[in-house]
Amino acid sequence: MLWLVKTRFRVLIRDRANLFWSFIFPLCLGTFFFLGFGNLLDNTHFEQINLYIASDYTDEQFVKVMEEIKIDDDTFLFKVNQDFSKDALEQYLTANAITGYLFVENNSIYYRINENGMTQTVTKSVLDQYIQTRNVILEVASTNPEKIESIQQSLSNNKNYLETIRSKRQTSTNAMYIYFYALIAMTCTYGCFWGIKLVNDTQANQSNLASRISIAPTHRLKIIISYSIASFLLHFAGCLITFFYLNFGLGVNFGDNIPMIVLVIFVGSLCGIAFGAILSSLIKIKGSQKEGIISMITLALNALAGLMFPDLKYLISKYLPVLGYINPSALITDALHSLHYYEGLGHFYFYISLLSVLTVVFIACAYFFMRGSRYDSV
Amino acid sequence: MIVKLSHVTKTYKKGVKALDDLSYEVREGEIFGLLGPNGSGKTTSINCLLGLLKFEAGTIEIFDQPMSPDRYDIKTQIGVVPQNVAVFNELTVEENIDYFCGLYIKDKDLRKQYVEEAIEFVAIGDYRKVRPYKLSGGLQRRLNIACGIAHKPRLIIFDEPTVGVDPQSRNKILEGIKRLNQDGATIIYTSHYMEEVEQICDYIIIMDKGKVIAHGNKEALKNLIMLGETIEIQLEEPENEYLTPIRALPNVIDAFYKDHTLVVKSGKGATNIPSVLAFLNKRQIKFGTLYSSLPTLNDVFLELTGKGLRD
Repeated sequence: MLWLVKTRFRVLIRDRANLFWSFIFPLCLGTFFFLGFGNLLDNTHFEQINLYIASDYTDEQFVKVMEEIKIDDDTFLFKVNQDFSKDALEQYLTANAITGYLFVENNSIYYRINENGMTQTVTKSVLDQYIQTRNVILEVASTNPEKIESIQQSLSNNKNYLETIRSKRQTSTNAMYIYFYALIAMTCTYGCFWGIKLVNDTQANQSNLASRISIAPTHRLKIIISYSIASFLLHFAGCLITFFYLNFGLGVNFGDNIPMIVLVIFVGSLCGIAFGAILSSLIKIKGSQKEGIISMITLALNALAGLMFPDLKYLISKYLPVLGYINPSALITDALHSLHYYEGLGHFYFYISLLSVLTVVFIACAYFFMRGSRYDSV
Repeated sequence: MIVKLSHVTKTYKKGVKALDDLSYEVREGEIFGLLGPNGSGKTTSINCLLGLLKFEAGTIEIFDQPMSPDRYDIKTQIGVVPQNVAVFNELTVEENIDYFCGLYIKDKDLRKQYVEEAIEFVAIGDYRKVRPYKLSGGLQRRLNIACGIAHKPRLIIFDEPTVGVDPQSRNKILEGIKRLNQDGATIIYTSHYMEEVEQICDYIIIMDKGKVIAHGNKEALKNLIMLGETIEIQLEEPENEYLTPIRALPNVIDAFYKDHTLVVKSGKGATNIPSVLAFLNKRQIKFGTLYSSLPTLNDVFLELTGKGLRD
């Protein structure tokens, strides 16, 4: 048995085409992803908001308040710019060069924007609070001037009733991570190519080589198991290399639960090989056409798991969640995502359980298709 | 009896009957030839024999034991050289032979010895570290043979081993098969090349449409037919009017032109050539070269089926 595994390993390690898909292509794609949007992954960095105020607005107190708002000890919320006239700012806004600007008309402050966004929401929220507070003070000053001092006291004692607790985990909701989870899922499911080779070399109705092996006096199950072990070891190694390269080489943060990530990759690799073996047994075409069809199916599954468009994954989970539960790529992606995003392991256990069940079903089906030793035609 | 097929019937899914109540027996120590055109059922019968194909009816015994896919004790004693080269392109020549030998021989030292002997047998030692895809067609065929015989089987099946092989390599392969037989192996040799089968086989069955249409040694097969001699004479001016009187000559079966050559098919007899020459002289017909040939297995097949082996 060990001799069979070793020899098979020697065969597989020299199979350049499959090595490319398992080892080289994921690394290239990972590097490409990282170069393309790696800088978008770090969403802990806060970018100061440029607050444009028309130059004819001369309320120094307002400008001073805006300039002094801080989000923490060192960082100011706004970078106030009062260099341009209202007309100039309007032109910039039309050209989408700025997200919005402030101007004053009839003693009222207006915030003019083109579209909604995070910057506009934050700015509007601050302005609302400022105007509301200013109006309260002006109202009290005109009606009950003796109470102005207590009002100011009350405003200065303004306290938060909700405390923000930052998680110990360095979690992120950044959608860009989906690309990297999906990349790991893709690498796992590319085990289908090893599955194709497994079937091609053991099923007498698939190749002359398999016919020759089938007539040898070595037990069929022994051949299939030893070939599967060699395929799995090699493919699992390829997936781990991809993960370690992304995590430690490129610095993509997958969270700190490495053993569970390795578990996902372990099950995912098995699933990929078994999936390829099933498809290869079902698709009776010989040669590269079969590989083409199976790679298209795998690519489609990976696309649905968010490899090309993360939004597609969210749409499927919203409108067709069942599809996500039977798509191995989606389950691998979700398992990795849940490890990174959630504090507890509940979600992770759900996805890894589904993936494990799917893998067992795939292996059982693959065995069912491959167990036959006599064929209708060879 | 080494192999015994009894009334085996195999029909493919599309309704094509590949074997139609096929029976034959192979005796120990002989080179048994399965001759027939492409699609006659030779390879199908071999695949049934090896337990690869399902079949509807009949029984197969090898070494007097019923054959089935899990009869590993029987499989251990069989070697197969398939029609197409079936080796791992990822392994070297030596590794391939070692691998296929290893599926039969567990003892490492014995395997090593057998691998060396197989390499020597097919004279491929200079290429032992080369990958198969880098070898010429002839060398690939030799490797294919080495992988099938390295474990020294009692029964060796050669399924059209010379297809696409140059004449020199073909002769080497045929010589090798004879040597294996002399060393004690029983050989089943399938081919649609009647010359090869005539050259090496002790006993021949001729197959067509999944049936045995004739069997025996080559002399016995040739005695089955009326044709005794084919005479070919090159004429300067072939005329159709000559054909009818030639056909009327004693012992002549048929006469026709092949380009400028008059072909006369005659029955068995010693006076065929003199009677044809007498006719030509009498009519003062000018002729050039003259050939006479004895019937071949192709003639046997032609007469029995009405078509040539390579049609």
